[in-house]
Amino acid sequence: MRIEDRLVTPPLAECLSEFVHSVNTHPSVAKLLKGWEPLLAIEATDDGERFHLRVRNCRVADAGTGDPDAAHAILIRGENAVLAEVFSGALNPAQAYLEGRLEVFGSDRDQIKLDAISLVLWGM
Amino acid sequence: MRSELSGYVAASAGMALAASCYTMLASMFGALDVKWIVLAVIMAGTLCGVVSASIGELAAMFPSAPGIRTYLRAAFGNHFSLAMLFLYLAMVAMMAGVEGTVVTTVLANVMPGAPRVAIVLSLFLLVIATNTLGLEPPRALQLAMTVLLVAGTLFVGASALWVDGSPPVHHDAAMASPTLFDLAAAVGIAIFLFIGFEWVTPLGRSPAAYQRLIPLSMLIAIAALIVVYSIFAAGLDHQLDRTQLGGNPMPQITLGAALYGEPGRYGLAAVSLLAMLTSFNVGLMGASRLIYGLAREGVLPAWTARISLRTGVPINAIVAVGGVAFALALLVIHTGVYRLAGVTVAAIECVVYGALILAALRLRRTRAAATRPFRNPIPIAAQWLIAATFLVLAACAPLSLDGAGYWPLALFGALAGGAALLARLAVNRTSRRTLFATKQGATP
Repeated sequence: MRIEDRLVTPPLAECLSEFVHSVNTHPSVAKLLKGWEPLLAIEATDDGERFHLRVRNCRVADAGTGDPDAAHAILIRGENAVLAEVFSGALNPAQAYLEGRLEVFGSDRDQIKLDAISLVLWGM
Repeated sequence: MRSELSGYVAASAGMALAASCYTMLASMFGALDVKWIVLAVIMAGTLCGVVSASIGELAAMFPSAPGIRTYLRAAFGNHFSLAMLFLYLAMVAMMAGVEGTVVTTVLANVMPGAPRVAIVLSLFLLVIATNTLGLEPPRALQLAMTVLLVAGTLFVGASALWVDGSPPVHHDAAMASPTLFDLAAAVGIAIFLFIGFEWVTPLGRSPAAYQRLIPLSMLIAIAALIVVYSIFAAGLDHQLDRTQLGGNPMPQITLGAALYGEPGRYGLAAVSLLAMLTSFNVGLMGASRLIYGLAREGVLPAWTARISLRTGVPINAIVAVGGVAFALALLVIHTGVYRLAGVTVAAIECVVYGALILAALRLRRTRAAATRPFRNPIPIAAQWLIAATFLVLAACAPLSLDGAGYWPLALFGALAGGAALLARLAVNRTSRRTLFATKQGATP
């Protein structure tokens, strides 16, 4: 992605929609999701936007806004722009996590699986 | 909320209470009477309590972040943070070496005739295999294991105090009062007993956990460990004489045998194994997680970030860390230098703790407007003093080992120099990669 493209990141909702499409059509990601069925709760800390992505049967089976309950939930928080960049492949999530710009509340395994999705999808 | 807090307390205490803690506690009897040892434990625990408040503040600023790497990078920049991280990883590997040595010695004692190399290899293979297969015990089981470990240690120590034991073969004459240096060195070594309490910081289940529960859990864990270690030290002194303690890598086995005969020997061997599993396993996973993070940043080669698509486990990082730890364990077993490794570990951790206090203080200046859901309540002047104290302890601990001369300090210096050099190489490497990537991006 060119530097110019990175400066114009689509809205978070659009990024998440594209992300869901990429996840559901990538064969290697399906392997990664096997036996892993969390609810990804995404929360923008600056404007309060909330989304959820429910993973089921090796794909994102349900996506929407709001804050549903789930036994196995992973909370992902950050500023809206950071989340948009992470879910569009414009920003290395590991780097954002290291810098404290991205917060991920889940087990080690959950965090690595999430990071692995970005590694498989975008090689970063 | 109570069960969440107890989970964090158990995690914090469980990561600190390792099998080698018994060894390091006994090693202090060579230079000090038990009352000074207990004082050193209380002082070390109190200092760790202060550090825990700084760590709590940093964790609240960067919830769920990979601890030391994030905090020190934010405060002091990338190079210093990397140097400290490499030093920290060296410490974790050495700790694994000491732990492997102690548990191998314990198991060899209850399984005479079994080759030590086979024992240590089996242990490491078990832990590495468990981690690479992504097998994780349920949280309730982990909590139960820690409670059993802490309660077991407390019970044995208390039993040793209240059971009328046979008088020791050699009546230990009271030792001369320690010098200030002796006491400082003992406190520095006692820091070893609390290493790992801070590994609870990435485990917060929600942002709210960092407002109170995570900082409180570290404090409670440290307080509990102070009580447990003090009672256990008193129990060791009451039942055993100095010749049975100084240089004994498995004083808990000796104590168990003195109290309960063969069942005590086997029981304390089981406690030792439990201590290893609760701390070593977590340390291995934590270190491999740090290695994985460094690889994802581009600091380490990409192959160290390889994960199993099925389990999501960073298998190459786990095998790498496990392999290094195993090699160090073999080296320590072969050379018998577990006490040298132990004091070096303590010295490194003192430097790290001092750096963390300073990081929190620096961020109060450079990021004054940042949200701090938890703030260290200790006066700033006291924090500066305690940070300086840790640096003094880091210098004293390596010099406390009888007959070792300046070797521990030399080892510490070599590790610190190596870490700084690695950090410089890593920074240069990532700078070159960034420059290359920028040039690629700019090409039409």
